[in-house]
Amino acid sequence: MSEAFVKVRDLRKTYEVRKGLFGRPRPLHAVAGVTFEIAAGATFGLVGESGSGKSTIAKMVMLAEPPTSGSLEVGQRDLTRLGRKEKDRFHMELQPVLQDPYSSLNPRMRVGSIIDEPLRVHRMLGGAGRRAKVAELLDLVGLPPDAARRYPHEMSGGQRQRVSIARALALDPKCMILDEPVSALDVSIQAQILNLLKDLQQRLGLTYLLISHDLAVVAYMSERVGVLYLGEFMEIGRAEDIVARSRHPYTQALIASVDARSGGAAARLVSGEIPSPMNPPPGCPFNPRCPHAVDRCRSEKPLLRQVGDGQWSACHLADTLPPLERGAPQAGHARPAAAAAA
Amino acid sequence: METILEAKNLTTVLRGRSGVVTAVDNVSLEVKAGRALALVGESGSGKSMTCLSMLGLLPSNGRLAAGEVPFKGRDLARMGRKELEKIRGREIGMILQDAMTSLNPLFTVGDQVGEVFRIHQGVRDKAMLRRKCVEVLEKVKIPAAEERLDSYPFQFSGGMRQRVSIAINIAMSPDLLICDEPTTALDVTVQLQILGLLRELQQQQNMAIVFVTHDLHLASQFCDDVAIMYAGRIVEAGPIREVFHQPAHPYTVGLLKALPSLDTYSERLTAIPGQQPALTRLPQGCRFEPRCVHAVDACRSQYPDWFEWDGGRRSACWRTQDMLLGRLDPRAGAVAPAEQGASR
Repeated sequence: MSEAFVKVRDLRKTYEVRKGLFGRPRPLHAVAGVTFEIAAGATFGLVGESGSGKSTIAKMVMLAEPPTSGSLEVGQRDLTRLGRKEKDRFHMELQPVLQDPYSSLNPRMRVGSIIDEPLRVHRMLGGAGRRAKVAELLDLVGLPPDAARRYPHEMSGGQRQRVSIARALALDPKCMILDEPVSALDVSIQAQILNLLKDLQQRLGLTYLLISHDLAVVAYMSERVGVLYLGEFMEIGRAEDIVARSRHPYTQALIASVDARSGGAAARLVSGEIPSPMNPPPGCPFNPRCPHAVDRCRSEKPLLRQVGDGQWSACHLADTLPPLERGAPQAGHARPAAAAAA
Repeated sequence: METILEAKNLTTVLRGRSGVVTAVDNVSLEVKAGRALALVGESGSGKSMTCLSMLGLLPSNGRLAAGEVPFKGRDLARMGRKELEKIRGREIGMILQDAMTSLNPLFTVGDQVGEVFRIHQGVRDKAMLRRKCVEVLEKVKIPAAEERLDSYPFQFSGGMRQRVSIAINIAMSPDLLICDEPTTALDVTVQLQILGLLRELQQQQNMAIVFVTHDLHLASQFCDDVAIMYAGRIVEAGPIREVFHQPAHPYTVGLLKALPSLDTYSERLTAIPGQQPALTRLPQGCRFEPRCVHAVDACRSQYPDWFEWDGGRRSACWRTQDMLLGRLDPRAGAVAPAEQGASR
């Protein structure tokens, strides 16, 4: 494995929340101590439900939100100690692609100006150079050259997401933060964008931090996966280990819900919803919804510990947890076309 | 099996800045009593507009240009506003995507559930109203229903709000429940809880359900029948298990292959190239033809007739027979480099 490009150590974000005008401020732990690394040229996937803290982590890595504590290192630089100039340079190396290509593109600008805006802001290349760069970027993301003259509203969701990707690539970044890059897109378009992102990673050697609520998308894109719940990792490991040999009941519940959708047995679906981070339950954050919880889970918080090669689980019962019976996929589900041909 | 609601050759036109478009084009479907029909399509395919057309809820720029909507022997399309209002909420319920926007933030949950009984049953007695509300909230499995009657919608989680919205809509034991993307705004683990509840209520009350969704996989777990829409038309319909196991329309095949699953995540996804055409610029022949790997000349010149076969299945594709007999290479154009060029 190549060297880590992104290093995140014990990252925390705590907000002070007041109830009413005169209420005493109480801490809300949006991110409660998260540690991971992303190897250069690899993808790390953060998966979790709403309120799990995945977007807060992304914001901190992008320096859009200062961490409360912990260390953040990108490309050997300590992000918590950057001067203004260095911050500018950092922003050129790390670019975001956001969820909604409808609200993230300026409706009054033509696609060409949207894409070369980062170049203008950073005073790079002359007019002719920028035009050549825009043409090159459009081609890279699979848009025709005349797209530069169009407005975002003249384009479909998939094309707009290609424009956001082109803009993110304008400054030749080394790393991209992909925050739910396909969840606002139509089903038939999602695969196009995911494949495009994979191809770009290969061609340009990009490092990705991918954020998604969809475990199947995360598994498809990532080498390593971290499963977040109430601001903490429940499990972290290689994508194939997380999917095939999960050692945490929450991960297993996520897998079961994806399987149940695509035809597997609906076993091990969990009840209840993610609790408010204002009132996290004592002990393991997942214990109120966990089908395996015992007394210890309600009083003592489990710490992440190694359960396999590069695999860590924050569950007291990780060693005795029954493996998830995934049941063979029903014929035709994985390969509908093959079934049609049979 | 008894058909409870039908759409016959439904055509709806919308007036917009770029002229008049046909958002729902000659759509026919049947909803059978006690069964769940999935109406599947991407945004702009006309699936929601089909439902709004059937219920007489079209926006002010929309008009039902043709078609009939027989519901229990009466044609909803020819019914006055007053009459329709009586049917909606009593005989037909409707659940929308985000319960936060369909519930009034200024009234308590008890007020809003109670309203149904006040309006449709004329219940005035406060204690009686409370009892009825608690009863229906318990039906949708809201814990401690009695205490939660005085809470406001914002004090409920997304899943619980959707349960309230379901309670309001099933309170009158309707014959038909129309659910427009009822779980799209919810977390994955909660989605299945809500669908399980809907399925349970459906069986208890012997309701028919129309389930509007973009998610064919989710629909297959929950529905009995399916109609798949593309660019304003239904392209394939039939019992959902069979359609899922042996899809006949190339668009259905594409949809099923286009999403990563936990069994195939290590293989490259087969994307459908291009995108759905704008309703203002429809191709002359089959509307899926520009994206279809199996297209032949006939597809380019003329919209396909329905091809119907056993078990109530139908597909609007000139190559249905070839598809069913396995004469088409399912991997044709699977990873063609052209898939990158979504420039149509």
